[in-house]
This record gives sequence, structure tokens and C-alpha cells, in this order.
Amino acid sequence: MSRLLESESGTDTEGDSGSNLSNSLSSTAATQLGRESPRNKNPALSLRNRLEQFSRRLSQLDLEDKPDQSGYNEKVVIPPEGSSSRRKSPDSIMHDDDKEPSTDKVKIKFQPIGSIPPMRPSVCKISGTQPFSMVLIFLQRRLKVDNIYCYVNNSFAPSPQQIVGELWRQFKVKDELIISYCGSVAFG
Amino acid sequence: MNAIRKLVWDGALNVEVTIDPELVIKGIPKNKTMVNLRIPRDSYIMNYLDYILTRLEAYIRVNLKDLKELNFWFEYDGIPLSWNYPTGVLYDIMNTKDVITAARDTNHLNMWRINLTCGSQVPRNVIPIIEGTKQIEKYWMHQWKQVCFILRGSSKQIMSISRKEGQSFWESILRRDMETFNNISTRIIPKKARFIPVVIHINDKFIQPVAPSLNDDGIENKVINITEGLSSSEIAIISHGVVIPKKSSLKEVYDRFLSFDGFLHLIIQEQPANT
Repeated sequence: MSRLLESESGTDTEGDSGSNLSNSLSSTAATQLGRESPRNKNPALSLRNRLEQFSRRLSQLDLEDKPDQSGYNEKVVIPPEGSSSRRKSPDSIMHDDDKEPSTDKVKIKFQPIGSIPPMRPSVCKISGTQPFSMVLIFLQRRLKVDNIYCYVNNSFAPSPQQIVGELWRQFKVKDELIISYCGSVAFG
Repeated sequence: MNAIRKLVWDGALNVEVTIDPELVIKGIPKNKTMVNLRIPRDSYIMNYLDYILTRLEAYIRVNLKDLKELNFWFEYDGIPLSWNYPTGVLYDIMNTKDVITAARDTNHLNMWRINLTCGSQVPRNVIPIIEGTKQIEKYWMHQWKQVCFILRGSSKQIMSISRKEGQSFWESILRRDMETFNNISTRIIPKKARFIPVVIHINDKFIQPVAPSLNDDGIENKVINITEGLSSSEIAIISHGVVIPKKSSLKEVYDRFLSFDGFLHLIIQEQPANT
């Protein structure tokens, strides 16, 4: 979990990923925070409430390596108000640092091949019901490239119509679907 | 088993293709804008596009070279057909009732009437073809790599096939050379597989389930085991136009009914409650 939080604070400093982070944060988390802030006039109380909410949400995630409270307090990033609306796919792809537990989201690990830029963070979450074409569009937009070739487990290119959740169930490695990507054909 | 494989391989459809009237020279009678052909069930319909366009070249308003700029797709009853599934699967999805009727009546002759349409953009469910037949071949090869991964847990076996053999494998589909196809496919498909590559088509959707060949007790899974819970109604399971007994072993059905893309395509027909 500490890795996730580090990744979160890391991305916040990156100009390009900042907007994606705010987009990808769960709409409920952001709206709840937005709704509560006017009611809590004391800023200290407001911050505590927010931290308690995050803490509850993290405990629901049921991750193995739970962070100590102090570390969590230092690294938490509160989304700006008004960033609650989540854009529709493919921008609805969520990063691994998103907090909302969701049963229908699956983890994808992106691995660059060749000179194409790496994805930061490399692990993202995506709704399992999306077709694989959404992953291709997401990568094209994030990496600002015209052509992208994706392969599962460095082996095969799935059909763009295949459902991400089904690919994940069939080909996952340690709970992650490993997608390697390249700007040209890597495995013909 | 070989007899069934031969019947599956030889399975074909009578298809009548009518070209988009927008492309045809005015005043040409409708019967001149149609092509009748027999398409193997185990093939991609897009492999026949060039043949159809060449046959109709004399009645088309533009040059064939200019047509390459457009996107083509086939439609049945106004519904675009996803070329990336075997032609027989597309037919069975669209005509499940006819399939069951035809199975009971051996004198039944079917003619599948479809349209060839074009436009600047393809419909949502159709993969655009940019690189021509080479793209179709690459797509098909990646389907086999995926199949190999499901069956063996890695794609090493298919990766070890030489470029020349890979080319012969593809050409065996185009030339309907069953022997070459079997020689190469049997090297990819193990006798004992942990998982079976299956695609289930139901209600305009497709599902690619995780289908272990054995259940938790080490007993062979049956076809019904992977289709359970997909529908609350009584179902018929169809593959290659044949109604499959639900209690058949999944691996045995795969060995006999696998398609040329390496997957076992099962089409689910929901039966009315009163039958």
C-alpha cells in the first residue's frame, strides 16, 4: 500500500498526470469530500474527517501491507473540489492509487517494449467490463502516440473486442494482467 | 473422430451477396449486383471480399483501386457482421432457429442472403481492415497464439513454428488443405490440456470463459458445465450448425468441433418455455 501511496504522490507532481489522477479518483470519494467541506467550518476537523474517510476506505481494500497511520497522513492527496466528475471511458481507466474498492475492476500492469515511453504508474485499474479497445485508446492518449501495439504476457495481441475482465481471469499473473506495448509490431 | 473433423472442415454455406446500391451504376438490374458463392464455414468472410468485388467490377461505378479507400463490411438484416469470427459462427448466431430446423430436415436448402456495404467508417462491432488480407492473416495467427497460451500455459509451441510453416498453416485455410492444417494444428494442441479455448455466443454477446478440461474432482468437464447459469431458459448448444449434446465431454467436443482459429465456438439458443 505504501507503494501505491508513493505512486499517488509521485503522479501528483507530474503536470500531465495530475488531471488524470483527479479524473480517476472515485467520483463518490471526491463528491463526499466536496459535500462535507462546507459543513465542517473548522479546517482541522474537516481534515480529520477526510482522513477518517480515507482510512475506512483503505481498510475496505483489505490489502496485505497496511500502512501505518502516520505514513498515510503524510502522503494522502486530497483531490481538488470540483474534480469529482469522472470522465467516461477510456479516461475512466483508474490508476492503482485510486482508493475506491470495486469488485469489477481489474489490475493491468503496463510494460513498455523498445523506445516507447513507460507508463507512470505502471499499474492501472480498469473496469473489467470494458473491451480491450479501450485500453488501446487509453494508452494512445496517455502516451500521445498514433500507433500502439499491445500484447498479453509478451505473447499475443488480443482482439479489440475481447472483454478486459475475461482476459484478466484467463491470463492474469499474480492478480495482474500484464500488457506489454510498443509503437511498432513487436511479436508478428 | 476423423470423420467428424472432415465433415466440420468441409462444412459450407450457400451465400448470396448483394452489393450496396450506392456503388452500382444506375440502371443495372438487381440480379447483376448479386454474387452467389459457397463459403466454407471455417473461414473468414472477409477473405472473399476481393473475389466478390472483382466479380462485380463491371457494374461498380468506381475503379477497384479507388474502392480500397473505403471500408467494407457485410450485413445481415441490417446488422453488421463481425468478420473476425468464422463465417459459420456468424450464420449460426443470426439463424439459430434455422439451424435447428435444418438439423431435423435433411432436404432443407439454405441460402444466406447478406449485403456488402461500404462507408468511410466501419460500424462499432467491426474491426477496420487497413492492411488487407495480411491483417486478417496476422489477426488469425494471434488468435492461435492465444489458443496455444490457453491450452499450454505459454505460446512457445506456436512460436517455434517456422515462418514457412506459419505461412503454410494460413494457406491451408485458403486452399482448404485439411492435411496441412491438421499436421500443424496437432503440434499446437496437446493431448491433455488444462484449459480449453472456448467462445460462447449468446444474445448478441460473446463470452470467453475460463474452461478447465477437468473439474475439481479430476473428472472431465462437460459442455453443460461451462454454459450453466448463462440463461434461465432451456438452451440448445450449437457448434458448426450441429446441436451438441450437453453432457458431452468438453475436450472431446473441442477435438472434433474446434474452428480454424483454434477456438471452440458454442452458440447458445434459448428455447421457448413451452417446447
